[in-house]
Amino acid sequence: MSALIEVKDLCVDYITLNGRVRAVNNVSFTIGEGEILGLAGESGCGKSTIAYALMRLHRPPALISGGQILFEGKNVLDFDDETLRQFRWKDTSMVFQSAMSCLNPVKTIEYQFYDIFKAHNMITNRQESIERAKELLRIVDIPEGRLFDYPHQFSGGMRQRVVIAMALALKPKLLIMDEPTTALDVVIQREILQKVYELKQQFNFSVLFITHDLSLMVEFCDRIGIMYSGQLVEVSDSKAILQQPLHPYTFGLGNAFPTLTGELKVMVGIPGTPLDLSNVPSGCRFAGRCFKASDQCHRVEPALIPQAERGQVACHQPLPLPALFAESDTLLNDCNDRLQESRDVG
Amino acid sequence: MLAEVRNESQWVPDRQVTLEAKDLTIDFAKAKSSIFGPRSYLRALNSLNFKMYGHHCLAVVGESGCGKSTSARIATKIHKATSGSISYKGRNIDDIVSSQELRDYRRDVQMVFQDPFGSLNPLHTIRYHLERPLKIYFNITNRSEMEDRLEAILTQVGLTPAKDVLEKFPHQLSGGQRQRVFLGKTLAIGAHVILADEPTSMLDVSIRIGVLNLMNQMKQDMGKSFMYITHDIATARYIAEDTMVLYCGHMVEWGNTEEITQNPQHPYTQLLLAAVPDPSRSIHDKLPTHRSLETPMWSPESKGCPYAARCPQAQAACTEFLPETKEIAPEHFIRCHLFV
Repeated sequence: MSALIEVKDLCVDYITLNGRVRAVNNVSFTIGEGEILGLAGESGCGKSTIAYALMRLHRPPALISGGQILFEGKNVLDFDDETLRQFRWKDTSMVFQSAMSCLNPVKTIEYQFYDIFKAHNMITNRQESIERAKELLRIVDIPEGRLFDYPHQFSGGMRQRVVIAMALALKPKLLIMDEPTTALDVVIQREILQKVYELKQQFNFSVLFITHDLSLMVEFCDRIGIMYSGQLVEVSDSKAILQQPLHPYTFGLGNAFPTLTGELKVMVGIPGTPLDLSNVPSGCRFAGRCFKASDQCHRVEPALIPQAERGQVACHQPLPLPALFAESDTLLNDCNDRLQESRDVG
Repeated sequence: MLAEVRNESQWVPDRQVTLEAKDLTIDFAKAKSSIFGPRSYLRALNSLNFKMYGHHCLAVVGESGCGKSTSARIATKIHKATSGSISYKGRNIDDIVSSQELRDYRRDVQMVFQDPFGSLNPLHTIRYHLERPLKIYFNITNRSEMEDRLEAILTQVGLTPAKDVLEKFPHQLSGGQRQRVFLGKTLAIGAHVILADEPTSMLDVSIRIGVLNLMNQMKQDMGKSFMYITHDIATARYIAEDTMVLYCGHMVEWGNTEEITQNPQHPYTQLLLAAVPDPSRSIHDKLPTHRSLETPMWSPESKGCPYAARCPQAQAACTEFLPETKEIAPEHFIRCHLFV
């Protein structure tokens, strides 16, 4: 699988009154052709900032302050305005979190499709645009007859599918989905993701999928990157990430949602609150909330390095394979004890 | 003093009914097609029957627009039921009209909202939010007593150090902390029934579990009676003893949570459970649904089972009349033609 997009040491800063806040810090990853890469993490960890940076959608006070984004070998950060305009939507398109607000409420769906085709000189007349738009609606299972409806006449799930159809209108090579289903309920969420997967198989585009629902991500993605306060802390195959987590943060995330099957256990989540990015301590950023943190963790910042036959992790003491735990619950109990301690101290 | 009269432990012993709904039905008027045309109605809830208990949590599960929030809104007297009733401690809430009784009722039955960003006043500190109910309902004027109460409340909801948190404004707290403040507020008010309308759906996964644990603790240790409205049936399993699954304003399956989640019988419950993200499953598993149709708009004239159009096992009878309630196992009720 050759790399479609390669991100190298990407840094994004927000300029605030109290100085620069680095929202994305030295992040590197690649997305292969036809691959689905997931980015997971808490709010404010920089997931969406990366997505915006890939399309260069940032406006001041946000600033891409370093690194490279190589799309098929060309650096997106060097594109001039016209190349960038062509690049957006035609090569890379994006589905935003709230489909309600990215459709124009006073124009019909048909006009909004026409707008896309016209802006990219894909059509010669309106009739051609209508034909193509109908075909796109068909692939997302919306009856053709609804083409001339206004956005408010659609339900939330249908609107999100219209937005996906629009994102696919110019056959992009990379589709960025920024929490596309967070506002929808579970049945519709699954239907939409199944549709996206089907379309991906058909047109072979790559997907960057962003959400904070790790179990959904495990089902949908090929590889998953876990982010914590602006840094990538772990990249692994999706199946391995919950079963054999390397980073304590991933372990915590994996134990933060109740399951439907199996024994009911008391869950602990992750103690503490996310880091304030304007005041970053030295050493590992997760050290303050980590149950394994040592002196070294508070002093030296770990780099993202590959582990033998497992993913990449940025941690001084990556977790061993679960087979090595005397009992997988010991770790959880550790967590519990620490949580209790921190409460007592508080 | 009121606080002494309402001794927690005596007040709601285990399994004492707090809120009870009987045949709860509500119609909303739709816009007329012309000013002389007939008025048509939308039936948002059709004949709901449920009981809530002290020390217990009832989860209300269903997709958006199925009437989950409407039922909580009727219980807080925001809407008035078209027919049927909700009673609180055996008394019909429609009969509560005098201002003193209304005040008591609203103190006892509180709602927690989905959006912790919109439910706290951004112009006031946390101290203001928590002090007001204590002043209004408990007449606490003594400075040091107030401080003690505030600190106790914040410690109970896990916001420490309390002194720092009190002086903060809502924007200085994270979503999870704000939701904790809101739960603290229900404690300050002294509510016994807490109607939580998707309290965790806007929170991060890592913080969500903490809020759920807090609710669990309030339920177990303080005997609060919770209604937990959600579309995430996995979290419902985590905190609720009883679950009721709503579809289009109808109760389709209800009873003991473990029964419902481990042994779902209604086709809609099965669909809902199959759609929950689960790392051990694959995204390609086909959903047990017939066609992906939209939820029907239920009107007082509609007949049959609301799920018939999407149900893969629909029979002729399903479009004819609404099935009767059947108890298929202890504490497991269902309303489906397959089980008549």
